[in-house]
Amino acid sequence: MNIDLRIPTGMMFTLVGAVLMAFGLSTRENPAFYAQAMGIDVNLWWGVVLLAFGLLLVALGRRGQARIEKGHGDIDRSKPAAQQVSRSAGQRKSK
Amino acid sequence: MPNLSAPDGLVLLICLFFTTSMGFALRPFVKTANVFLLAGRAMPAWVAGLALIGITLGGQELLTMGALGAHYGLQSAQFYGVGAIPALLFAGLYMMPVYYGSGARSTPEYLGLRFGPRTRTLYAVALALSMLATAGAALYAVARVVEALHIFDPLFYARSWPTTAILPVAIVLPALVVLLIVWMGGLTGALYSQVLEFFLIVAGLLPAVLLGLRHIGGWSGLKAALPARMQVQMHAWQGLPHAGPNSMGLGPLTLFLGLGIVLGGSAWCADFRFLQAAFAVKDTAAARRVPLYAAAAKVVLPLLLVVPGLLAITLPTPHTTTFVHIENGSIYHEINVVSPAAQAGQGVVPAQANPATGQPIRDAAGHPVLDYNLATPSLLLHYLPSGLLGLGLAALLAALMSGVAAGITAFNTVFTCDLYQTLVRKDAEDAHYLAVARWTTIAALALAVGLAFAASYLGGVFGLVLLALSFVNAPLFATFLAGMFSRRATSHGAFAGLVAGTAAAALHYGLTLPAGDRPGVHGGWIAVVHTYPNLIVQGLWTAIFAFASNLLVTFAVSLVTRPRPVEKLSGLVYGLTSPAAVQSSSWWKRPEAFAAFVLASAIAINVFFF
Repeated sequence: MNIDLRIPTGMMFTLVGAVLMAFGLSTRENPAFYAQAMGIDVNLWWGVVLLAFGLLLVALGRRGQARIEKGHGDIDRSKPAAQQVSRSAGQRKSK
Repeated sequence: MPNLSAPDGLVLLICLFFTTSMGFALRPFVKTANVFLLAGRAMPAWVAGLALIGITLGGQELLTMGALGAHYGLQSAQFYGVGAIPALLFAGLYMMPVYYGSGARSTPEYLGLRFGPRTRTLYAVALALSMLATAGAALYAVARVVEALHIFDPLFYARSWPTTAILPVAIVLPALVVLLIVWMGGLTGALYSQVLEFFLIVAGLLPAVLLGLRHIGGWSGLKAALPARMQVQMHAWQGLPHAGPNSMGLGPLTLFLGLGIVLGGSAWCADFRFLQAAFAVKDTAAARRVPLYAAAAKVVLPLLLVVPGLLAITLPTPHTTTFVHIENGSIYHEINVVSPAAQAGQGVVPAQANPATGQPIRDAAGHPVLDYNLATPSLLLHYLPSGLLGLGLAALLAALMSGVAAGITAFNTVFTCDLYQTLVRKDAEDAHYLAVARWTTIAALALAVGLAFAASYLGGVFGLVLLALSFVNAPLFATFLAGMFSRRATSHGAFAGLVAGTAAAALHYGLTLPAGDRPGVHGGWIAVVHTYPNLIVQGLWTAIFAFASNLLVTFAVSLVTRPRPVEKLSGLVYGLTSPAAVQSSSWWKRPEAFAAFVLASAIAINVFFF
């Protein structure tokens, strides 16, 4: 497959994290809103966590995607297939 | 109670969009039946591993484990661990090399290669039916959650649509989402969305668990707050021998034999709904790692699955309250109305409500019957404020939908490869099979929707799943064991064993009954010879009897029939497969080392916590 799954997953969490963070910031002054959550602005904090996680995944995914595309380029340059397989397997392990 | 606010809706929509986008994004790559049904055998091991976890969390498991946690306490964590970890490790170390090495596309196809078309067809039919049943049950579970949490209510009131239409809409809508993902993206779409769903489940449940644990004073606070009947069960292993209405009544023998070997084995080593993830990777080494990754996740997942149930039962039960406060000289009355069913519940676990009157349903002794399946959803509602609640609901729905998708994709493969291609048209073009597989998706979902409507009459969702598993799957693991690890097992033996095992399951079920039940759906059609403490124990023993009968009959018949010559078993029996081409040289990179590590951490966690 030609899509590195980390990119869409990361994008989803970046968006969700941003929405939660924005909402957490806007409701920060309203302690009654977080009464259930013992006064912790969980939207803000969990939003930050998810945002960071999302950005990390996107960054990793971009590298992975570049590798997928580069790998295909290598095959086009007609290197021996066996070498290809063992190389990509080696890269996988090094992750 | 839950009024979904705009941020909740937005978060839900974002999650739904990305989940369905897996189908759209992959549509251009899905051009052959091989890609549609097997993801082109190109899935990276980590994706398949996470997808496998997503599948196992899917459907009922998330609700069921919360329910068991609320009902039986920490024992459920064992139910979870013993039932999955040994079997997954076994599958990864010893079974995947044979499955993958045989070149089979599905577990029935392996049986076909080893034992001939008869066994394959019998199993494929049974498996296809069980896939549909589980997909239907999962759809029904989604709809129940949507209905119980009143997610659609504001929409229906705003449009003044009849609220009786909520359940049907809640069954059909998720089915349409699954249809989009699978129709467009095939197995790849399903696996990708399951990985996404796995992350969503963690992101949605973890904040509620952390808040709950903090609120209650950490692990020791949770222990102290549990109802007295569960105190003994906190020490889960000590609670084992005490059978009774409030404990699971699992003796060590039932637990290890029934759950660890028979049910665990049939689920994790033979059930194609789960194994399809491992069949979709690029080589044997990757296929072996998939179940091992899932086993590693199972070590820590009880935190997310069982603890919410425990927390839910310890919280104060909500009551209708009137809160009076004075602000700027005026008096405000805030009335917090709680439904009678919720007031009759324990903790935040509501009682089952009579759909007509809204009053709690009571058992013969007058105690309200608790709706344990709502334990985890109720906990999310209790702790998560608007905003995070949307994410929590997205997690619940994602979990339920990934179970549906897994049932449907497995049904597709089994129907197309094992029934259509072998019985109807053998040598058609690839495009033909691709079309068949696509249309099967629609037919399967339509049937699953029908079953979801029927599921409401079949008692607890968990009972249904166990029933399907024990009739179809329990005898089956014996067949796979005989096929993979014995050169002596013959085609006649396997077929006779499978028939005998299924018959034994039905017979045992017809002769026994869980305590306090009337003969009917829960067994005892023929006569009631033995009564089990509850449905779970009955299901486990049904599975044990089926497994044992199958194994005995398989070997008895095999010994009097002629075995296949050894050279024809090449690649089909353990020890006769070609050795893995590249075995990693350093020992810590080998799957055996990883498996040992997983097992050691599972034991360490058990010792530490229980």
